[in-house]
Amino acid sequence: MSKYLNYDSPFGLYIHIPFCKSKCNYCDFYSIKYNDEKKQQYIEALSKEIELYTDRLRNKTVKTIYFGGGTPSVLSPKKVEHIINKITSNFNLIDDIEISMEANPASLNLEKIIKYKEAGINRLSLGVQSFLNKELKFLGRIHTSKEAVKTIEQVKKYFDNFSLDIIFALPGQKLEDFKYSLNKAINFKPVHLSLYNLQIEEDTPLYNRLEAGEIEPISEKLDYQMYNFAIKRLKDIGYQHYEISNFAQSGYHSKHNLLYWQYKPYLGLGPSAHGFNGKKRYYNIIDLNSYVDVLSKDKLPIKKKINLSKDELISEMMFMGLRLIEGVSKRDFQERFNVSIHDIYGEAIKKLKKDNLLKESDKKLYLTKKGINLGNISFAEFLL
Amino acid sequence: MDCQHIRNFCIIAHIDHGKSTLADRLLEYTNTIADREMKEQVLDNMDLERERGITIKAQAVRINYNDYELNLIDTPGHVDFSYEVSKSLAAAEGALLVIDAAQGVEAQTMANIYLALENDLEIIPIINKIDLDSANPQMVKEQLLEIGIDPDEAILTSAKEGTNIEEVLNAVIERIPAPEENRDKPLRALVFDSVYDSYQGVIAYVRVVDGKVKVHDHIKMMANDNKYEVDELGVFNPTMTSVDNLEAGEVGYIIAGIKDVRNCRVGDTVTLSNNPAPKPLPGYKKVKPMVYSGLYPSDNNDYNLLKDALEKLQLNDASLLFEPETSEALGFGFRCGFLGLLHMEIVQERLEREYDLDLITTAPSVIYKVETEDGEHLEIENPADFPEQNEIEVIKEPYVEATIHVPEEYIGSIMELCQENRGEFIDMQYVDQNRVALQYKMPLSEIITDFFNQLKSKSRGYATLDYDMVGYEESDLVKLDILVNKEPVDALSTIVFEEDAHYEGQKLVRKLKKLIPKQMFKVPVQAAIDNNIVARVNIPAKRKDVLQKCYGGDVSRKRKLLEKQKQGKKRMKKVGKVDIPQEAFMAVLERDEDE
Repeated sequence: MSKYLNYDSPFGLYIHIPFCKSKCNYCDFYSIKYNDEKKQQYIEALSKEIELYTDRLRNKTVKTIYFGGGTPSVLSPKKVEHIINKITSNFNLIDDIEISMEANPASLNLEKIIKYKEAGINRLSLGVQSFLNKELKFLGRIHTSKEAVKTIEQVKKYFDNFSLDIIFALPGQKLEDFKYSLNKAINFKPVHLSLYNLQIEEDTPLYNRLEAGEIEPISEKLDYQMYNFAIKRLKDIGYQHYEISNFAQSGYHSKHNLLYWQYKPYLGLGPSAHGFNGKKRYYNIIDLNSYVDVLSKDKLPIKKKINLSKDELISEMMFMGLRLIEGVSKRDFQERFNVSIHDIYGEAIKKLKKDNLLKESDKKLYLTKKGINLGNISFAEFLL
Repeated sequence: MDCQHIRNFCIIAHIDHGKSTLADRLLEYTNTIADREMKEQVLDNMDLERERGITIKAQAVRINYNDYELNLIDTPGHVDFSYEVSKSLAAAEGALLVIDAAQGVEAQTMANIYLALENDLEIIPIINKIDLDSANPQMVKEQLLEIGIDPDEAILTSAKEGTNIEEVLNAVIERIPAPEENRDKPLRALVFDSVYDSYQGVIAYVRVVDGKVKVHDHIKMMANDNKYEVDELGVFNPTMTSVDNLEAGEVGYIIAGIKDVRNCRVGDTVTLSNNPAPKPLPGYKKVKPMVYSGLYPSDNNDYNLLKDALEKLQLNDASLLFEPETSEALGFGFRCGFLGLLHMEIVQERLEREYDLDLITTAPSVIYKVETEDGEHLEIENPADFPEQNEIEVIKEPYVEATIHVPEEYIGSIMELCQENRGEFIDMQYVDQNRVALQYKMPLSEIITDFFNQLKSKSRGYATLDYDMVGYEESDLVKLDILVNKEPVDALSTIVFEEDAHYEGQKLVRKLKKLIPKQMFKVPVQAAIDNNIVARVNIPAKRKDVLQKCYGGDVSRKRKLLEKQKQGKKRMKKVGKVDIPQEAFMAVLERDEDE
């Protein structure tokens, strides 16, 4: 019933690097402070994890590699090269493979940038977040605006394919503050931009401040204004708005993230990483020590496997796929599930169209501008 | 056991003063319950009771101690349930009056003392929580003196740490009188509570006052002459333990194949059918629901489940009344009668918890009497059923005489509160040096909003409230209608005092603006009297609600967020095109705007 049963189409490889110099005030991903010993244990365990997958993935193809975190750039270029070599010698890679790495502007320097490139990294995603120091401080970022500028200039010399992350809708942020950071980012002509509105997650310092009444979330109106200003501005200067939070110059879409949105398979490696083989999801043990421990016994560090029902697969393909501005292909849906999209979602489609949240062309279903801004309401209709 | 070796007592206290903890200690100390079975607040059976730290239903347990049989009857501590308290008191000869050593004498303490004195009970004052740093037993003793209780008789305890528990038990034996020896008379047993068990039928909690009863005896309920054969007799120690007979002075339970709690009313007298007593024991006043509100399932398909659940709940709670009603906005549901607001809340919570129902509750209302121009006399429990204004000749509403006991420093603010709630001053008298009794005549409808909460907050918890119905009186009342998105929502209609109507309307629409979430379109909320709009606010359209963060490959997290969103919507009621949450239907309740 599903085309991609077991990494049967070229899949992505996500590698979680669980280290950070200091944790940001809004972050709830798994990361810990590091030392050389922990890094070494991690590299060895990760290598083992790659080896354990070798046989299972013998006839499959890796399409993208993505180093996420945490802060992947705290690993030396040598260690990154070691991991890439390990992957290359154990898996089949397509020729023009995309190898992305997230990096913190403060953890890069010219030498590292050059060496990461030599190690095989061909796309860098920089967590700039803002060009205003007061905002960086509020977010708990360890770099300053000046450092970010310097790093971006250096990256630009060696990578044509780099992306900048900007966070907006911070408590107390003015529309002008956001415009400043956005324009500053645009000036570097990045081929890719990600814009995230700040989510205040439980068990983070920002959440505690919110609970204590020290900060107040920004108004919905201002959030709307910032987001829609950015969409217009970026489109005007030639960026494609291709996913709710992502913008790119032609040909520079994030191939790895596209796999998520197209609901294609990806293998997750490293502590707390998530994977999806086209039918089943899993996630790894979160704690680094336990992760290392399990792999030292030659066992896969999988914490939980979730066998998805057909209904779950269908609804997930929809709410992931509709994040793409071009929408979901009706034919892809039909081919993947052997049923017409209208047979499953006739009612929901009718309702969303009536509310002007969704539109339909010959080939696709896609969200309207209103539907994008009210994405959660639109997606919820596709839960079966 | 001969009567000389029996003591029947209850524990009375202001809420939170340590009543249930003291009960726990007494059971532990006397090995009535083994340590390993001990869970906090043994007598509070319902999850809800343990969680809220309150007792809702009376409970009885037998303690064997030094050749004595001590029957402990636990009591609820809230004004809604003073009826339950009086039931327990009638079954006992003495009461432990528990007072928090740090808080001192408080509102409910007083109400309970009066109840105990009315029932002619011996009172043993217990100053509890002496382990607290802020404990001040000397202060409490002075207060006791003021309210006419000998402070030298007080026992100092820490129920938490188990201090002086033996002294309490000895005082129960030494100071509380033994029940009267009336075993040769025909059986008379007072039903002070009853619960329904799906296997055994009704379990009646009784205090035998005269004579005795044995298994297989044929008994008769004196209220309706229904006859049954006794299947089982027993005591609680603390689990149900069967015995062969119960004699005058004892407390226990009777199971006799009674299938319906309505045939075993609390307050009824049980006698023997072949040797009946000439007269029943003095019963209690029959409880009448004071507060009515509509209960509707959020999902209309759950109507039958709700009906089932209410029927089952009623088996254990005879004070709950309900009958079917229909609302244009909410569909099919029930109009239910409750003892008070807490009772209403508890019923709602039990329905949601024990029967897994999502409910919409409308704001509580009293019964209004309306005379129409055509000379019809209507009794109206639901504001939505009010006739058109021009068809109404006279509206009458129920009035109560409220008695409020309060320390004198709060007199001013309490009098102000009463006036705000249309109270007419009747009298004020000093109860002791610092405490006064205020008497007001007030509409019951004012009391069932959040009067009680405000009374508490304006007197730092010291004021006690008691009220008696004094009958119906004419009032200048109007129906306030609410329109959401231009459509009237019958379940949001309320009856208000004409003079305040515009102001109430403005307040209510402002409150609804806060409670009704933004929809995808602008929603006007209007208040209308007699089809004239008197207030309006707009709820702006929702413009942005989208998760932009990338959780890597963590799809399950996105799914959870969306499911939560969908679930939240399920808990709302769709009225026309607008989703309205439960709280909005209760909005009229709160008087204060918390700006």
